[in-house]
Amino acid sequence: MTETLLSSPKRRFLSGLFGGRKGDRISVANPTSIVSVELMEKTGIFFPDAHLDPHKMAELAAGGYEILGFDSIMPEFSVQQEAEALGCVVDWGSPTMMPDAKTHPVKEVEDLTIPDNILEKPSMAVLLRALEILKRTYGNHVAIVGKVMGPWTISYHLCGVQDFLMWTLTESEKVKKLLNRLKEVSIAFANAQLRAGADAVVIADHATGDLVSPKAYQDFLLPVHQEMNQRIGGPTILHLCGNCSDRLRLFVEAGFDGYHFEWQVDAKMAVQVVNHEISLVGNIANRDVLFGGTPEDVYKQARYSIEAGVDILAPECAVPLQTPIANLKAIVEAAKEGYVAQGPAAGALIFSPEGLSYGVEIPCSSSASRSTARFKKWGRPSWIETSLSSGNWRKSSMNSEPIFSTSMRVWQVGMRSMTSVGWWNSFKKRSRFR
Amino acid sequence: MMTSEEIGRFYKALKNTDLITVETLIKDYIVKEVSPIAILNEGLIGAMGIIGQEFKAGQVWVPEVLLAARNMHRGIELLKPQLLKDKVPSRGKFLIGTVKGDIHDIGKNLVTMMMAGAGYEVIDLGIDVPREKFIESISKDHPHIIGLSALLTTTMLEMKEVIRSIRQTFSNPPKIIVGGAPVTQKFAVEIKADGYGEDAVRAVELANQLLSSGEIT
Repeated sequence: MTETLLSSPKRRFLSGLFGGRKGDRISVANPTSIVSVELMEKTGIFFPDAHLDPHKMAELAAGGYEILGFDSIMPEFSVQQEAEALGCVVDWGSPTMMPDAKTHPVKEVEDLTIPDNILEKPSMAVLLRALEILKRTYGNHVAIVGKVMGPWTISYHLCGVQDFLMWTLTESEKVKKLLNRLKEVSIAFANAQLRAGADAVVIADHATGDLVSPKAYQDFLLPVHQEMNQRIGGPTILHLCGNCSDRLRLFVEAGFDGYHFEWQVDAKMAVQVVNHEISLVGNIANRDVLFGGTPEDVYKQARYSIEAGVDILAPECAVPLQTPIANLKAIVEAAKEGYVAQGPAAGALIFSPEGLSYGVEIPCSSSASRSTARFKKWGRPSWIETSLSSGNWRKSSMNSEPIFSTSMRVWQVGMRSMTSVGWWNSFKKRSRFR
Repeated sequence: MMTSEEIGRFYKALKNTDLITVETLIKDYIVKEVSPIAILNEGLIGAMGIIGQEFKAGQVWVPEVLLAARNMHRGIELLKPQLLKDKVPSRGKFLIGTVKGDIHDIGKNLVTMMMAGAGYEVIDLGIDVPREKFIESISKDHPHIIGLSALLTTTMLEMKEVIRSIRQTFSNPPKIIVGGAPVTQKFAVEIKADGYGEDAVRAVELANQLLSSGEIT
């Protein structure tokens, strides 16, 4: 048997993005920001500096790989870089507050002026410089991911969300003209990011399922996105949040390589609907799980997404700034278990002859000759047996870890209601996080 | 009572992209000497109710609701002189604002429009509203119900502080309801709000319930 070689973060990511070879495990990446206050404290780099200084931007973003263990580094934390370059007054916020556009200068198409040197405007140039730095430092090992705002999102900033949404009904020609002009900004910025060293570019365009209909996407954005995907010279990932279950096929039609999606969209359903014609990136829930949940909750969702067949594992959207680091790391932990969580799938429920003890037998043999099983005193099994050769079971010390064996039996006395899958799952899960 | 066909005309007028339809309709009814309260309650609010339900059911989206709210606003403007003359009592006073640090206002505006449409007198403090301003406005305007809005997980924590300040300052504080994308029923209970509305339609229902339960006098 050949041993599965460990993949590098970049190859894992690219393979996932193009729906290719699966390797030893799923890639964990972040199309949107994974910066939290805790991460800022650990790197010593804080908002708002990191939005406007390329070195700080690069260093904070690298924390996603260095500290959290993600396969990607994505240095754009805000959604306002283009907005400022196009004339919005932007409040760049604080460590606990994301930036926001304070003014919406465009009321008519004529109000929109796109500077010739827009890529040199400080808020946009900063990202290009940060990508260059990251490419130099991490480029041959980690996936470097860029991000641009699509014309719909830029319009929100420039015109105000409420006005812009209303115009989709009252002044549709105006909306089309704005999108057409602004898409040039997105395309130019995306291509510049690819030249600066990005392996892929996220296009965030928030025609979200919470705000507009699938028909609005189809009428206004589909042709624009199709053209953008033709003219951007590298892999693209669409970020479009909200419940978009009703418009997944439209994203396939638009020609993106990946779609970054939310927990509200069921992963199993999404995999079926898009049928591998686009890669799915997602979809661990932010509010209830990454922000409000425990590492176990994260683990559970991550395993669900992996087993559903999602191509790249990721938080569903930019994570809340108060998200605990332990929860972000738990995504990576869940991914490290591989495509099939060890234990439940391979384990068999066994009974002792007296009928009082229940155990689960787990073959620890992957392609390697031995495997590591870790456990903790919580939910302590009555005893554990390990075996290095068939049938030769030996009671193992409960305190020594790790255990090396080709298979393992975990015994519990008198737990009549347990099932192999459920019990092993909870044992295993809790033992992961100490 | 208006027939369903008549309410249908209001419904169409609210959905129309131009304002002329709703203006003509209201003027028609005023000329016919239909009471302005009936035009408001049965016509405009009745039709808005249908659109609210469609929104809840996922048949229309935010742009359609924004448009309907704009049209209804225009309708109420035309009715106002009549309504004032007839001294229609307001259903209650509603104070609303997006909490400090948060400048998002679509959700808040939808609630404002729906509440105004449902007959409440609405005081809108706008966006990025500091605690002190809520307190000051409560002392001055004596609202029956307060609505707090936040779109961000970061700013929803500010809601808790606002509620704490209000409860500390007033021995008999108004009812406080909360809403916004990241807010949940569970969170609302945690921060000691009196109610949670997942959307603007629910906010109006909630306000009505709180009023009719007799808890507010």
